[in-house]
Amino acid sequence: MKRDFDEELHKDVIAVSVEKALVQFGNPVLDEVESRLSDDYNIDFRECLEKPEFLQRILREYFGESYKEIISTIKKNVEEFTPNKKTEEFLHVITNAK
Amino acid sequence: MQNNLEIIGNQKNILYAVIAIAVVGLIANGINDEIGNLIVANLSYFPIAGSFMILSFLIVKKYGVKGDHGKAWILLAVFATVWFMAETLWTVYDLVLDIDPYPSMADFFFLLGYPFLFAFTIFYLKPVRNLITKKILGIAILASTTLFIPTIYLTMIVEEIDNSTEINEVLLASSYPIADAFVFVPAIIGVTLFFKGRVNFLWTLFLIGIILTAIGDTLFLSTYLNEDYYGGHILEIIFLWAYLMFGFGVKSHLNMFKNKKK
Repeated sequence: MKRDFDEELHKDVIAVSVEKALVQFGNPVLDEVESRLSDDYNIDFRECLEKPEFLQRILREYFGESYKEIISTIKKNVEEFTPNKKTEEFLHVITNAK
Repeated sequence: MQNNLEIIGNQKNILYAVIAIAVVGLIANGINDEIGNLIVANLSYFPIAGSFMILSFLIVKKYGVKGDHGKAWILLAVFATVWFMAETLWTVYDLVLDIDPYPSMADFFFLLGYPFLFAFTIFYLKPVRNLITKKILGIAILASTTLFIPTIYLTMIVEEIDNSTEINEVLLASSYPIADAFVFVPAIIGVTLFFKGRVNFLWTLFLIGIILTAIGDTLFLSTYLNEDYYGGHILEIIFLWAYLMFGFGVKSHLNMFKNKKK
């Protein structure tokens, strides 16, 4: 039960971090990325914890080379929370996925 | 994923609009100077610059006022409005008051627009500013000098200026390509930073728009110095194309981020 709770908490951390990074581009951008994740991969921001490469792919598609800076912002946002293996794995994949 | 050239190639509407403006401009000028002036230098600006202004308000409505991009779109809307006011004033001077519209209060509004356009680019790029290296900035500044070198050359070879009024008019005409060069720098940075991304289409079109404006401004200076400029001169088509690029750039952004939260 604790493991499920931790998993949910990690997902919330990711969702909040991603939303905070994208909202600086405006709510339409945030909505669009969220819709694309749902339409193309059937996931939401929380589930990006397990599939960070999908989020990276969409960011790259829209923002080109600047996706790196968005990921950097997401990383800073995630690091505001207590680090753990799951979120560190998320950051590693989203930073290095090709 | 499409690159920018494929996107541009696929955007038939832009091509058709460019051709339509050129055809209308050439036909109007071919009829006589008065029709050319009426259509090309005055009436054409209202639907084209007006559409750009309306689109910029639509995107402000969509993005709201929060965040860097919210501010960016507001600044762009101010720029579009200020330049629309400038075009309106030009027409009022030319067609209503029958006064030479250059120089006039229209120039005040044209020049006033540039800081807002510059500020738009700054706020749009703010979330990704850490990616702007000295190399990128240096190359952008170097490239921008190409926009005002012709201006410096043209003003240096002017053979005689009779009075201070003419000096002021030459300086005023020279200031436009220089202002274009300033806004060119962040535009080229935007194209670089968003390279291969879909938002790059906005930046590419804005860059083309700024280059066209600079070409038009330089040609205006040249024809003005040679006393060849007249209302409805064919170079006005270049300014109309520039507005077209700005408008389609904003439209592309409106269409790109259209999904609402589910």
